This record gives sequence, structure tokens and C-alpha cells, in this order.
Amino acid sequence: MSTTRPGAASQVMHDAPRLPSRKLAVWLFLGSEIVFFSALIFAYIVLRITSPDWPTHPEIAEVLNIGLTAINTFILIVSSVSVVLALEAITRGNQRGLRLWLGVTFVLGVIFLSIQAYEYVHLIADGLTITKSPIPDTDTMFATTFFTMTGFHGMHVLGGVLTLAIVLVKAMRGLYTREHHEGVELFGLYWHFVDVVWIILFTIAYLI
Amino acid sequence: MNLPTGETETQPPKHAGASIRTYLAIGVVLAVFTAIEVQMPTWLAADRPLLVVSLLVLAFVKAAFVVLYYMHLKFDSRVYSGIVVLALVLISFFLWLVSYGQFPSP
Repeated sequence: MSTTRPGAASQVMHDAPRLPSRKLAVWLFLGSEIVFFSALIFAYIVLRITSPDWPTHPEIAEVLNIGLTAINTFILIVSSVSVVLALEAITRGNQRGLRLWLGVTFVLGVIFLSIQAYEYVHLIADGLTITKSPIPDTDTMFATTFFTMTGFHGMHVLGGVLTLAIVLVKAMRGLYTREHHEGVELFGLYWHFVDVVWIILFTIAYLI
Repeated sequence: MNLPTGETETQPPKHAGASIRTYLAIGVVLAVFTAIEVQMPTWLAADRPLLVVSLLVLAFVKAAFVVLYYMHLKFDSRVYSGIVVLALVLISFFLWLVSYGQFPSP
């Protein structure tokens, strides 16, 4: 006669649905990223409120290319849509759709980074740097915080694009299937998060 | 259903999420909101407090759409939502701590 029998507590634990560990890890990572970017944005807001030499919004609008950045925002939004379509495609076993939409996302990500690099080059050429400001009677606090926030975001986009290159290569090799495509989903989570951060940054740094 | 390449599209396994039509509709909404946001500094130039509030509301609505639908938070385990909430609570508490008493009341 067996003398071992799981207790009620261990039975509950055994029967409880387990979360995919990689997905949980990605969400925990994104949680840390929420803390990171929130701190950056809060620092920007505090410095803006307390700095007596912060440029006014019309002065900022003259320096920053808001129209071009709006296009860049649109590009990132469309890339989020394409990532969603890529995931939907592989859940239906549509390999061609997966590769197509991941490819579209990759191209859009590269375009975003290119436009941001173009913007940076022109801002620096116009005199907006961390050591000087082209706006009369203002200090460099705006430039410093602007480049810090958007620079960190840009680095995250670059990391996303590099990761996407790996995901795309695996997709081209047919390594994702209808049943096994966790890598696509996890990449999508990261990419959408990068989009969310940009939505907030664009509003706070460019429009307000 | 047969695809042009000869592959056969199978029915997706049952998984939580919205339809493709919903995802596309949300994409359109995000794009439209972005276009509105870009024009708002011109429309509300004379009322800066309203401009700031409107832009922030629009931004957070857009962010919510992406988080809830594109990131599947609306359909996924509550543990993931809990992680997001915990992160926001932690950073809010920390920022309150460092800024406590720094800003005099009006």
C-alpha cells in the first residue's frame, strides 16, 4: 500500500497552469524598462519645470523637425501593425506571411533609425548639442535631456532591429511553425514596447 | 484554404487575441490620433493647459491600445498585467520619495 500522497497544497501547485518561463522573463524585463524610461521622462519633466532657461515650445518647434518626426512616429506605428500581422500569420501556419511581415517590420525599423540619425546630424549641425544651444538665452539642459531620452530609445530600436534580423533569418529557414513560434511573439512584445515608449516621448519632447 | 505559394493555411489554434480586422482598425486609430496630435499645438496655441492635457490623454490612449491589444495584455494572464502595474507603482513611489517636499505648494 502506498504511503506517499501529495498534500492539498502541493496538488494545487501541481494543477495550477504554468506560465511560459521565457514570456514571463520578457515581461519582467519590460517591467524594468518601464521603470527606466519613466525615470528618464520624469527627470526631463522636472528639469523642464525647474529650469529658468528652458526654451519655449515655439522655439523648440523651430529647432526640431516635428513634421519629419511625425512621419517617423507613423512608421513605428505601422511597424507594430506588421509585427502583429506576422504573428497572426504564423499562428495560421502561413510561413510566407510571417516572412513578409517580418521583412516589412525590418525595413520600417531601419527607416526609423535612418530618419533619427538624419535628424541628429542636422540638429548638431544647427548647433543643438550637449554643450551649446542655438536658441538665444537658453542653456543646454533641453539638448542634454532630449538627446538622452531619444538616444536611449534609439538604442533600444537598434537592439530590436538586430534581434529582428535573427528572428527573420530563423523565419526564412522555416524554424517557426504554427505550434512553435514563441520567438516571434516575444520579439513582438519588445517591439511594441519600444513603440509605446516612442508614443510617450514624441508627445513630451516634441509636441508639448 | 490554399495560398498562392501552394501552402495550405490552417485554422489557428485557439488562442486569446483580437481579430486581424481589430488590429488593423487600431492601427488606423493610432495613425489618425498621431495626425491630430501634430496639429493640436496649432489649434490650441492659445490654451496651453488644455493643449498639454489633451496631448497627454491622446498619448496614453494610444499607448493603452498598443499595450492591451498588440501586446495582448487584455487577453493574457493577469500575472503580466501585475508586472506592469507593479513597475508603475514602484517607479511612482520612488519618484514621489525623491521629489517629496521639493515643490512648494502654490
